[in-house]
Amino acid sequence: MTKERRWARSLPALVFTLFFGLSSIFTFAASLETYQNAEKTKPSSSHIGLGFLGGYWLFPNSQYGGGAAFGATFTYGFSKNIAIELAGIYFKGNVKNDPNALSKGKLTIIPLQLSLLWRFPITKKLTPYVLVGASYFLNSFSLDSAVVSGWNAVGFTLTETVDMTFGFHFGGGLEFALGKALSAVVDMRYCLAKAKGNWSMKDNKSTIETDGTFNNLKLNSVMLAVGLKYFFK
Amino acid sequence: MKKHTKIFRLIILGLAFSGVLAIFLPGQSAASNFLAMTSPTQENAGDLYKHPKIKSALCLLIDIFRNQGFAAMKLMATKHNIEFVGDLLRVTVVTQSYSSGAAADLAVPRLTQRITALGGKVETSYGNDVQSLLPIDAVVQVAEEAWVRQIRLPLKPHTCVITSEGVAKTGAYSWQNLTPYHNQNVVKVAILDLGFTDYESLLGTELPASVTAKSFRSDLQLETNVHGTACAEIVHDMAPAAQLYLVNFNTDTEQHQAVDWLIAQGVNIISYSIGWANAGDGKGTGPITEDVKKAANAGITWCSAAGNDAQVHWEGTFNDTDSNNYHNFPDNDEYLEITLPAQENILVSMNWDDWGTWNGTEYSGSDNDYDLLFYEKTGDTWSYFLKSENLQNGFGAWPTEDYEIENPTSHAITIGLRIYKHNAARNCKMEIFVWGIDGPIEYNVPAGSLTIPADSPFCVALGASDVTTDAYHYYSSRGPTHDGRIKPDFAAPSGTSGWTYGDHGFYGTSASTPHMAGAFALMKGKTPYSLSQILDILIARALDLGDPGQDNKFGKGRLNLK
Repeated sequence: MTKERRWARSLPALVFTLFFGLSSIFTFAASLETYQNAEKTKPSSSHIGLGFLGGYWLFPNSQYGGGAAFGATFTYGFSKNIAIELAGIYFKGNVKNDPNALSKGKLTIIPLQLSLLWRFPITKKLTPYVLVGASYFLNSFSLDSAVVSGWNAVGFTLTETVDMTFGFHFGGGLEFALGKALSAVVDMRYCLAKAKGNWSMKDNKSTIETDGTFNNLKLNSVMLAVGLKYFFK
Repeated sequence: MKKHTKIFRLIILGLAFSGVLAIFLPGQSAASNFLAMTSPTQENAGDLYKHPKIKSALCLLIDIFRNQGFAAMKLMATKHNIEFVGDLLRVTVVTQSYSSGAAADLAVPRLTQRITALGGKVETSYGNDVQSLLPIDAVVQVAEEAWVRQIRLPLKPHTCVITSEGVAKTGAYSWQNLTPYHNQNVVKVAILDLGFTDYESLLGTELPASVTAKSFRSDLQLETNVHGTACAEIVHDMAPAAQLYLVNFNTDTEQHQAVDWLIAQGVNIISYSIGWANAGDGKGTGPITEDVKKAANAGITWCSAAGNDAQVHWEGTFNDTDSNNYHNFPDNDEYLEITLPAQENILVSMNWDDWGTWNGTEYSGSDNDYDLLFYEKTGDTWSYFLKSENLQNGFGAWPTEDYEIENPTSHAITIGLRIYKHNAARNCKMEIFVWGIDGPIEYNVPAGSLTIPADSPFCVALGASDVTTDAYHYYSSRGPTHDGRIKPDFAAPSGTSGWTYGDHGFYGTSASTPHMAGAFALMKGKTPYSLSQILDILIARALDLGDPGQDNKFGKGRLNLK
């Protein structure tokens, strides 16, 4: 399948996610606004924030399928403009068979991201931000069970792994203050990572084993997410 | 007014929350999973076998899916050749036959809408049949729709292809549907043979849709013999994805050219269901086996027929008990009797163990000179009529004698062979093949009846075992080689069916050899193993038959991929 077709196939899910995600946040925000009837302020000086993100994970590489991703964030703000954020995100998606890379199966990625955020409050409610940082990808891969079963049936054992790896990410987003301490977030971040992996095939009868490695497993990906942050002054 | 606004906002909030839930459902199958969980029509697994609208094969899949999970269900589907596209099952949904045109016109669009909503896809439709891709958990829901009459698997056309029984016997079927693992090789297999008559009419059915065909005969004719076509059929049966090279020749010189060309083409495997006599010392040297060695050095696996000559072979050390320079067979008999049927030809070949040294191009030659004499028997009297008396004087002369004898009469005649020691310093070990008659010949010695180049250490030599009973065929040549090595290396099915020779019509090591070549091609096309590793894997998997362990009939055992 071409990249264009894959993106086209992902588009409805993306629109679906963004539409309902945004509508839920803004509706929730509007309701809170009504009930709280409180003064809206956004974090101004040093502060700590806890939040969660949910969204969609996409790969430019057509071998990997996108899907839902979610995670949690911890933010420490040095000032109203500068903060650091620690995020952990979970994603599990399908992988198509590629003789030179991963076989058919499911890839789990848990990037732990340390980011530096620059926040630019433009109104009392709206704060755009950009971020850049380093990531550590906790990766795991499980071969498609039907493929494994088929080979087991003729007496072969398959193993395939993806190593953990470091990466980088950058992106940006928008915080929308829902109350004194609560903000809704729309976030996009692009992740760059390259992993190594190993595969092996063993004939159980002769015990003859052959194996290989792939050193250039590109895990570059985009996460589009919405979420909430709660700030502790 | 304010109260209404609050209620309205709460409704929006509820809708939005369901939207957030949807975010966390997996991408493609999210909708179908959600609907399946909430469907009021879902039934328990036991009832599904009697579902009035779903065919039993589909019910079985649904049952396995519900009780054992998706992977187990898909494995079962794969085993039964039930098609999936991604995670969607291909089915035919048959709509009700409406008498009203309007209802009929609405049925397919409604069904399409419903299938799409359940995460499926309509591929095409004709009349009441709607060919669709459905998530397995949506099959029951679609069946429950009023305008659906039945859900079944699509009917499949079958070409009139005859598949060798050896494919099932060797376990190759189990391999053919496997997903290749870290492999994208196109495996090139050459069938190096005498001719490929009618091969073009079999393209796309018994043979791949396209093949590379080339003749090295002086007349450039490919369609000179059906033998190669039958062999190619078997290779294709065993390894349907292999790229085939159909190459023929008629002489040793043409064969050398053909092998050089195949090496240049990057062929991986050669299937060679041909044998030669008087073309080498039986120890793996000579001009024909040199081609095998050259191919092996280029990384080619050469599968060679052991020959069908166990009953037309004699060998023994020259023994002249009465000192008249003629060999004495048992009981001092000097004649090896052969009955030659009316209107038949036979080729008698004799060689002895005095080839000298092979330097890669030629033998140093024999200086022990023997001759082969032919007699016809009338009553009790032998009448000499012909002799082969090549000169063996040490200057590269091969220790061989041969003649082709014809019986032009309308009745069988009895031929006698005598071995004459013309000028020899020692009693050599003699070997005779009689080609063109059914055996056994008088004083038959099956051991050591391998034809050239099955004696080569660089080839995989094949004996013939019966495809039904696994018995070793009585005519199948056997080892050891003249230097004492065990051959053949494997036995493989013979007596198999194909278009060329008909139902169970292809017998002999010629049929066994392409089964082996096909097995190599199949495994090479599915795995990342090298051909030498595949050989070791096949050795480990061979079914040990005959004498325990490796022997001179079955070799390591009967070919077995399982």
